[in-house]
Amino acid sequence: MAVVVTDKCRDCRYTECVTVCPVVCFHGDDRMLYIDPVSCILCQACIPVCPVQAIYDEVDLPPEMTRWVEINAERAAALPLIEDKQTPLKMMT
Amino acid sequence: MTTPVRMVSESTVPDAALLNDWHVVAFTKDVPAGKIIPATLLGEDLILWRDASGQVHAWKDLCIHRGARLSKGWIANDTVVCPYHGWRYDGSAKCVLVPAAPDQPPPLKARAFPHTAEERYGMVWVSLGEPKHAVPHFPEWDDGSFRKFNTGPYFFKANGFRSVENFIDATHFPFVHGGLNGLEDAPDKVEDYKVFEDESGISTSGIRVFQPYGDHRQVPVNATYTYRVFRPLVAYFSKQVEIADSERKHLGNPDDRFCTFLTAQPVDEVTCIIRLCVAINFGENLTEDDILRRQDKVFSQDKDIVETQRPERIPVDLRAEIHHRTDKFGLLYRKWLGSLGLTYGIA
Repeated sequence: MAVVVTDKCRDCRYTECVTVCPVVCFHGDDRMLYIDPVSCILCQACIPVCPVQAIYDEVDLPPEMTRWVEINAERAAALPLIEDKQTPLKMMT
Repeated sequence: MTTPVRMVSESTVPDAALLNDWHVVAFTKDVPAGKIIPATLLGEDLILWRDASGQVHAWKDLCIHRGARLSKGWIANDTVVCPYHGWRYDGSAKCVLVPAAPDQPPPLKARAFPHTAEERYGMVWVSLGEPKHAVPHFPEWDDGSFRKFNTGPYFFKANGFRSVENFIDATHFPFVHGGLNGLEDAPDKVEDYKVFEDESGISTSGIRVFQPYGDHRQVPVNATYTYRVFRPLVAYFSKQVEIADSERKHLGNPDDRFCTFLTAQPVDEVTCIIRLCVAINFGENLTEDDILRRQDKVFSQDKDIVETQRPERIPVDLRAEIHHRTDKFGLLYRKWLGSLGLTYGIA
């Protein structure tokens, strides 16, 4: 099981999730974040704080988004940890 | 719960990491010369006694002759006397007298079973194996500007790790210690803090909270806790206190500290005995009774809640129970216990 970030995060990358994560399991690039499924403890704290609802528990993932489980695992392994809040790429209204 | 947990009835043997570690089993003052004091550590029954030279001994509570408990015996001529046939054991654990054959030297095999024992911070430390670490260093012990007091023992029908985790938890104050270390109606927002791990254990950066009667002077304080866990059952905090009430602020000093060094004696997997050494460098007018009264109150409140926790043994699978960001240190504690490969006392 996993909690995953989906493409709604792309070019938004608000990073509020990073400030509530108890285990530092977010990785990211210039455009979006990904969750490392090994270190994530499935607490779901990040899901309600995402302003664009980009984060899902795998069990609640709409069928057309299931590929994001694999994408998170792959990208998180290849990208640096994001421990602190970043400047969002898009202004929230 | 996402993983199955062991029931209380399903016991396990203590891990080498716990056997080869130091545990406090008594206060020094509770082991006077001339008395035998029983204790239980990691399920093993022990006796503690002090010989005429002042050296403390921790032996298995067993006479090799017929298996009687030495804890039912007594001290005579600086030896432990077995209550069954009166065999006498000296400070080297050797049998020196079999009363039924007083003219013969006792068999060489007639020996008690000694463990390693040491005294630090007014406490008796015992290792059932070969200690792999020194007794943890209590930073304020050698600092003459701090007065020290031993408080406890507090008997918890609770797992030692759960009890230590409660001690290093800064978010329970408003609820478990409402009106004392926090306010139920106005619980503190706990600012984010950092956690660290090194070869001497795990620790935090300062965690600031408001405490309405935050110390023994009965004044409101802003308190900053810095926690450290030296060994799985030995923890510590240094609390910097600043009087919050502006009219009385001048009564305090920015260097005012109240420090607590806590040990949990693992009697078995789900029972422990808490003993403290507290160090304080302010409030000269506070008496030992003032300090004890407050510690007794705080730890009886902790006992009431920790004894309710289930599963009784602490889960180290981080996906069991829920960890909030503000639980970062408890989470690291569990992760660290897991990395030590512990199974005894673990769900």
